[in-house]
Amino acid sequence: MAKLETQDPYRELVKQQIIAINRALTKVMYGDFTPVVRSVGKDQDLEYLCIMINVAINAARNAVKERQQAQELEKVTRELQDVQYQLAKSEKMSAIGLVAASVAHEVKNPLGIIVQGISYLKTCLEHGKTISLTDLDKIEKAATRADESVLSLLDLSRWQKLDVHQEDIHQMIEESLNLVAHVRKQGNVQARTFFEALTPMLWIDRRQMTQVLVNLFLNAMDAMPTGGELSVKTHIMPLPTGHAIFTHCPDNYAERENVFVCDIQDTGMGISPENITHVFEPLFSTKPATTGRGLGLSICKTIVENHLGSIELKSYIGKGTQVSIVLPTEKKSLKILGASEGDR
Amino acid sequence: MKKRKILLIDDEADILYFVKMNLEATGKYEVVTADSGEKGIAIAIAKQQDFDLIITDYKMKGMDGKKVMDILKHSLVKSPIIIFSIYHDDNSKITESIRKTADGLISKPFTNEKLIEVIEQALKP
Repeated sequence: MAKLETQDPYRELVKQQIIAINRALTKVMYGDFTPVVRSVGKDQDLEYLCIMINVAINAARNAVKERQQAQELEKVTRELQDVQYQLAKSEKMSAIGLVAASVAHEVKNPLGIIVQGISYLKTCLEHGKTISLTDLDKIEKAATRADESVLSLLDLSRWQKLDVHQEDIHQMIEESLNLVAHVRKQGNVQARTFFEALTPMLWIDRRQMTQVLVNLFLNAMDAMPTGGELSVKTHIMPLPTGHAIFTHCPDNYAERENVFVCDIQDTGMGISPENITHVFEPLFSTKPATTGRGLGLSICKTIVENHLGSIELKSYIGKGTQVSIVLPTEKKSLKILGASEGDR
Repeated sequence: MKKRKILLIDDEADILYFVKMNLEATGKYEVVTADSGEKGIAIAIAKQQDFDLIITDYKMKGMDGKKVMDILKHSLVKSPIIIFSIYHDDNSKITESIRKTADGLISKPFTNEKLIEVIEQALKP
């Protein structure tokens, strides 16, 4: 029988073709997509079959290639996110190193007052002198100061989890101005708002952004010891080409994308050019040691940048200072900055 | 015994107050205070006061303690100088140069006994 079959020329042709197809498909099964099935005779049906099989092998090759590329892309993206996260973290760590060196001073100074104060109280007791309340107050004040320095350090070093919701920023500005209203009235400072942003709904952490606003308002008022005007302007604008925000969040913004801008301006004494480059550094302060701890602006910067925003400062001696906060109007993925996992 | 006259420079008002009170309570010292490096130098040089000893804080707003010491060491003022608030375990170049120039170092916080010990050491002829 078998011998008879092989004698049928068409059958023989089909058999040869099947062997060729099998050989090619076996290679394909092992991941080699190079084989091309050639038709062994002149039969048109078999030729079509070969063409269709070649097309199928080609399609399979492309599909596999695409899947590999997608996997590679995903891997690269993951690595990139990792690097970005590490970078953000190491920047933060060097900021913490900077703080640690200075915080030693911030804590040791009040401790110096406490230890000296106690030495003095001991002397008073030994010599039967009355201890004055003012002296005790000085010691208590120093202890509180040391405690506050440590707390601020903890605030700065913590990866604060962002609790992001859609919030009305105009309402938050009004509320923050109310929070500082007593200081404002005492200091004879007039506050004016110019809300030009038509869509004030932003994706932000209400508590942290309020901290930023209050901090900036208090700074503005500190700059106007004899009174003045504090103005808060908001507007939406397309992001200018080459805006600073592209440097620290390169992949999060598109050119000309709409962003929210809030300008906080005072008519105070201004900041000198040699100080302006340092204002965002932790523990930099031009205020007396007893009032400013120099953490306010660096915390503001961290919070705004965790929202993928940016904060800038312009100042003119004798004329005043303007702080501009830029925030995204669209919801952004905030995971790279470690904002979603809380305490990293 | 004649009281030793000390110039104390620190931008912390409460440190100036307590250290002055403590040192004067011993009956051995008379303390003049200045709340900045600039004022300290003005008192030491311009007023031509004879101080047996000058004590200055290192980290201050405006002129720091090293600058104060460098200026005083290059002036006619020959009083020994003690510096506050340098950490002993810090081996940076700044600390090294201060250690070489200063007549005494003491890091905050310090007790009065420790301060007097360092003062007496610096006052030894």
